[in-house]
This record gives sequence, C-alpha cells and structure tokens, in this order.
Amino acid sequence: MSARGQTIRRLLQLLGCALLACLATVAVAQEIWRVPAPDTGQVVTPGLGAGARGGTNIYRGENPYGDIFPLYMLDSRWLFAEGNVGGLHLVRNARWQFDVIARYRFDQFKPDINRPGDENLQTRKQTTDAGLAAEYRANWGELRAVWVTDAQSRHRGQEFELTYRRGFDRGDWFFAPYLTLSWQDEDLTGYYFGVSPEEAAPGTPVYRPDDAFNAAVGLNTRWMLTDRIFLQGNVAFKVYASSISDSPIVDDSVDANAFIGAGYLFDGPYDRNKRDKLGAGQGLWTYRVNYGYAAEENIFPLLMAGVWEESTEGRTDLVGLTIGRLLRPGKRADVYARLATIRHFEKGLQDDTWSFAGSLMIIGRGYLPWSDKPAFRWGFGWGASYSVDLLAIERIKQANRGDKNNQFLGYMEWQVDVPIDLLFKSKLTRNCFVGASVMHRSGMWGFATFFGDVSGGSDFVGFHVECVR
Amino acid sequence: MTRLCIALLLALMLASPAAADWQPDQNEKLQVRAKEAAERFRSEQPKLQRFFDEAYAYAVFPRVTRGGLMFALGRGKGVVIEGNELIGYVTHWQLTLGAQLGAQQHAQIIFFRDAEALEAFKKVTPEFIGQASAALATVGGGLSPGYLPSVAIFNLMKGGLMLEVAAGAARYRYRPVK
Repeated sequence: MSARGQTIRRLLQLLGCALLACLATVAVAQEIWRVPAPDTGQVVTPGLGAGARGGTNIYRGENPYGDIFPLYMLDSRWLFAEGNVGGLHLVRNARWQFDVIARYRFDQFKPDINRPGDENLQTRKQTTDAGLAAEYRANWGELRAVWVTDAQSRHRGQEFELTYRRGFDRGDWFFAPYLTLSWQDEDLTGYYFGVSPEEAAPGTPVYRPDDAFNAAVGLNTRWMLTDRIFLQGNVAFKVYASSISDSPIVDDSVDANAFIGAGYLFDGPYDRNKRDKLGAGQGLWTYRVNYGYAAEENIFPLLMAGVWEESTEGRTDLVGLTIGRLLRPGKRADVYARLATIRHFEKGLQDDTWSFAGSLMIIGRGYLPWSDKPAFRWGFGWGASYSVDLLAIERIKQANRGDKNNQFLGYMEWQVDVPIDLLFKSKLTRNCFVGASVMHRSGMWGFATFFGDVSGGSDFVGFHVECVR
Repeated sequence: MTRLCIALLLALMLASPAAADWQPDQNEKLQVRAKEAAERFRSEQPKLQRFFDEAYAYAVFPRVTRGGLMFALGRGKGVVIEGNELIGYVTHWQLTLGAQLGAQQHAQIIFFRDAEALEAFKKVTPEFIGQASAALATVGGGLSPGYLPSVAIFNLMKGGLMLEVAAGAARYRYRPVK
C-alpha cells in the first residue's frame, strides 16, 4: 500500500474511532455477561455450557442475588451468540466488526409488598434489548460501541455504551480488563428507578430521574481446560449516576457482579468432502417427524424410566418436524445441531400454537454383533425452546402449583429408537429409525432469571420416525 | 526346511484364534468359573462357535449381577483371553436408566474381532450400552448391542427376571496379569 493509501486508511480508522466514541456516550455493565470464548479457527463453533451469576443489588432493601445461567454459544461467519448477547454479523474482518444484536437485560426490581414504602410499587421486569454494535480492533486493544433499545416495550428507552478492552493471551489463560461508559435515557432510568405518583407512599416519594451516565470496570478471564472445555470468570464494578442513586428505591451507587461458567465447544458442521466416509446409521442430515402428547410426569427420572401416562391436567397433543445437521461423527456417538418446529394442538383449551426448539444432541449407537449396522440409538439433547404463545399445559400446570410462566425456556430431549431395517427391509426406509422420545421445557428450577425465574414447565412423550441422509 | 517348519509352526501359534483352549489355574476360583461359563456359552449357544473361532480375544464374566427399579446397577468380574492365554482381569460396572424392574444374574461374553477393539476395551472409558433383555435374554443367548462394530456381546441367564428396555453406560476396568 502506498504512503498516501496508508495515511487515508489511518484517517478512516481515526474517523471510525471518533464516530464510535460519539455514538457511545455510554457505560454499561453488560460486558460482564459476555463469554470470552476462544477462536477455534473453525468456520462455525457451537457450544453449550452453564454459569452462575451473583452480585450486590443497589435497590432499597434488596439482598445480594445469585442465579444460574445457561450458556448457548455460537461463533460463525454470520450468526453469533455469547452469554446474554447474540445477533448477526454485518461486517467482520480483522479490524472492524458491525453487528445487529439482541441482548438480554438482567435489570429487574421485585418490590416486597410487606416492606414499608414498597406497597404501591410495581415490578420492573427484565427485557430483551435490540440494536447495533460496532467494534474496532488494534494493537492497543479494542473499542466497542453499542446502541440498544427495548424490544419488549418494557422500559421503552435506549442505551449507548462504549467499552475499551485489552486482551492478554498467556497460554491456556486469557485476561481482558475493560472499562465501560454508558448513557441511559430518561425512559430507561424512569422505568427501573423512577417512582410514579401512583406508586408513591410514605418513604417513597414521587421521583423522575434524568438520563444517567454510568461507568463500569471489569475483567473477563478464560482458562482452557482442554481444547474443547473452558472455564471462565468475569467480575465487574459499576458506578451509577446520581440521578439513579438519588432514587428513593435505591440505596447504593455502586454494585459488584461476578459471573463464572464452563462451556464445551463442539465441532462445526461436518464436511463430507474433506473427511472420511460416514458409516451405516450416520448421515449429514436427519429428518424427524413425531407425534406427542402432554405427559403427567417429569423427564427426570420417571419419563426416562418409561412412566408415560398422559397428563390429567391438560390433554394436549403436538406434531413436529425436526431437522438435524451433523457436527461431529464418532465411532460411538455423533453430535448433531437440531431445530424442531412443533405445532401444538391445544384441544379447545386455547388456540393452537407453535413452538421452536434448538438443541445440540448426542446420539449414541449400539451395534449388531461384529457389524457396523446399528441395533439401536440413544440420544440426549440440550438447548432452548420458544413458544409463540404460552402453552396451555404450562398455563394450567403452573397455575396449579402457583408458579410463573415464560415463553422462552430451557429444552431437554431424550430419545431411543431402533432401525426400521430390523423390522422389514425397504429401500425407502434404509437408515430410518422408529422410536420414542421425551421432550421437556423448563426454567431450570426457577434459578435462572434468563428463563423468567420459572420453576416447572411441560413434558411431552413422543413417537417418531427419523431418517438419516 | 527345518527352519521353515519352525517358522510356520510359530506363525500358526501366534495366529491361533481366541477359541483355542486356555487352561484355568485351578486355584483361582474366578478363572475356573470363567472357564465353565465359556463352555456353557459354547455348548448352549452353538451359533456362537463362529465368534469363538474368529475372535481375536474375548472377555468372559461368569456372573454379572444387576438389579433396580428405573435405575439399575450391575457389577461383575471376569477374565480376558487372547489366543489361548489369560492376559488380564476385568471388573465391569454398569448403570442404566429406563423401564426396568427386578434383579437378575447372567453370564456375559464379549468377543473382540480385532486387536484394535481389544485395545479400546483395555482403556477405562465409559461406553454407551442398550439393554432390551427381558424375555429375550431369559430364553438364553440374550444379545446386547455392541458399543463398537467390532464388538459382540452375549448374555446367558442364570436366574432372576428383569423386564427392561433401558440405556446407560458401562465401564470395564482392565488389569493385566502380573
């Protein structure tokens, strides 16, 4: 590149940085929830894991909190997910990255109606924000600007953030200290920290906060236990603006948060052209159709043990189509990424609805004696599920036990099947399996605010035909 | 010529299949029982002769005891025979989850088609297993799906009844003969 070209390039970079800085009058403690997953060099890297969050709470009378947090990770050319943020890469190269993002906001306040001053207060809920992120990487570190607005019409406000981060690789260890500045508008601060005239009570006067400039410092760390398993630990301190700390429902101006977790990184999609030939019972794609009914028991352990009674609380059915893509074949088991589209027949309890479940599934095989022909398959999958409407069976079950609902929940599945070839031989059914599965939606025992603090959910017993191609 | 004959004899000895008779140490109860179990498999399940003839090695467990309700635990001790030699002892643990109820004892034999399958067995790794024994096993010669294509597992019922369709994990801990 010529000297003039380099000058222009540097000017453009500086301009970009200045633009980021202008965009980001912000501060955010949201960086703490990011998972510093390693770059595996693969085109696509999916991962699963779990974490635990804990920290202090600036709200009046609130104790330190703690909960568990499922980790769904994906690193690919276009789509990504890390911690509480996921989205689409618009531009991604060594220097620049522009993303469309969706980010879960953990902020919430649950007033205690028995606490003096809280009697009229409304709950402030968590939400999902959506927006844009821009990142610039250089030798001196990375600068990341984020703009988000409320996608669930809860706070109806917006937030800008600017983060400077510097990463250090030390063998299996990775450290990345960061500094974040954030700006939250009046709508956002008003929802989480304001007190409306209707909520006012003795000791809780009406309060309308201005917009707020906050600051956070933190550290993201990662330790590679093996090539695939990593542990991570993040810690951050956030200083809130006076417009927030002056609120009558706030006691403090600084909070501390920690987030630890562990994850397993899977291979990206298997490339048949570049690797060995697949054996019997293996294939790049799986196609499954299934029918299921709402079950009385829970997946663990009664449903897995074959106690498959139909639910007495709501006799609803489902039919589904599940498509799987092979990520990693193995001698004993294969790993698939699967996406299920499910139609729920609510039997007059409410309108029929849809749900979608994404999971990573390990499918093991047992073989006939000294043969590469499978005698049976056994699988276990984990992921997340979203229902377009609350499912009738969940509404009824949760109401009966006095618990909450959420459309977005964790998902588990167990399946066992046998080759149709064992029953009769036909070209059409070659590499097809018939069997049963148990599908489970739940909120991780109510310890995951990510799933709306829901304890419970629903279970379905299914019968399926799955073909591997 | 003499050298050629000796070489051929040596080659034949080295290539002897696992089916060649091994003689247990009569002072070792486990070895005696394992030998008896292997003979039972051979006499009661003629279809297994092919496996005895062609196997690179096999492991035989004279008694595996299993029992449980939904969760079932199983344990047994056995020996590993390669050629006509006892090469090691093995302890077998299994944990299954599924529709299962009862308790049973059975003998188990695992045939390894090649050295690779035997070496994989010697490593202490959990293996997926499937159980669908129920009545099939009780009539003798119950088949358990092998965890690798070059592995064949057969059971011979001794007593008890366990109705089951279950899956889980098995672990084989191998110890070579000193």
